[in-house]
Amino acid sequence: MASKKLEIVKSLVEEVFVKDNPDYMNEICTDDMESHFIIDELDKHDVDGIKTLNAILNQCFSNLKVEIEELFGEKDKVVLVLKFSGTHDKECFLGMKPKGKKIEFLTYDVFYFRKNLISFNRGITDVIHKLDMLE
Amino acid sequence: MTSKKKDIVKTLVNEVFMKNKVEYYDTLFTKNMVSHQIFEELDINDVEGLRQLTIMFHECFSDVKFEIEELIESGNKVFALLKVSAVHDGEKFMGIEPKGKKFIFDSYDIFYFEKGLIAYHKSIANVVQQLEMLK
Repeated sequence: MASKKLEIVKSLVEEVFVKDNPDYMNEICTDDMESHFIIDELDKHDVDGIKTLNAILNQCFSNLKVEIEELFGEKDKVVLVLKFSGTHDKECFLGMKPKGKKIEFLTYDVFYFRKNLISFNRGITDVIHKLDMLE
Repeated sequence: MTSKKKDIVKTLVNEVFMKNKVEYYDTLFTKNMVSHQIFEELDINDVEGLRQLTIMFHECFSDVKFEIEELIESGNKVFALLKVSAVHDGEKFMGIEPKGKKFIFDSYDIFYFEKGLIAYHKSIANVVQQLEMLK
């Protein structure tokens, strides 16, 4: 049944991205979980990679908001679309210096489950297309 | 058993995107279909726009292949993860002269259905990140 898996993905968003509690990943992912996220040099490949990605966002942006735009699943797979927004007033982001500008970008993810734990993730973002907002 | 909605997406990918049979557009989409592709200047918003985009892509590339890597359905939505490959030996593409190079990118797409037809489509592709392959 997909609903339990939808709840797990929803809790990932709430705990990791909203509450900045990256260690929650250890509770909902298999030990050998792999992640492949297409975002240029931020391409990350494991649980620690997703934690690092979250840390980078928090290091670079204030007022970081995450909104679930889409969440649905079938069997052992869940599709998630997130809208991120934040103000770039902290560290450099993808080589861009902070100028206090607001950015909004989307991510599309697919989560694959094994025994009710996330074992694989692949995703993509349009953040590269949105970097003009930071100039 | 494959669902009707998944079959429509498969037809769109295999007949329209891959083989450039643009006449299929009128049988797969509602008349007021809106498509939002995050693809820089190629962001298109209606059936005719999507048709032109397909024609333009085939004018730029030969040996166009679309592989469906994932197809996930829930309610009125179908998510498709596509791996696209082609050879750039036709017209200029996004300002880049053709040099016979192979181009590969991923596209994450969600199709929303109304009465058995695609009424809305949104996607993100990593085309811009992959343009180096053409240089």
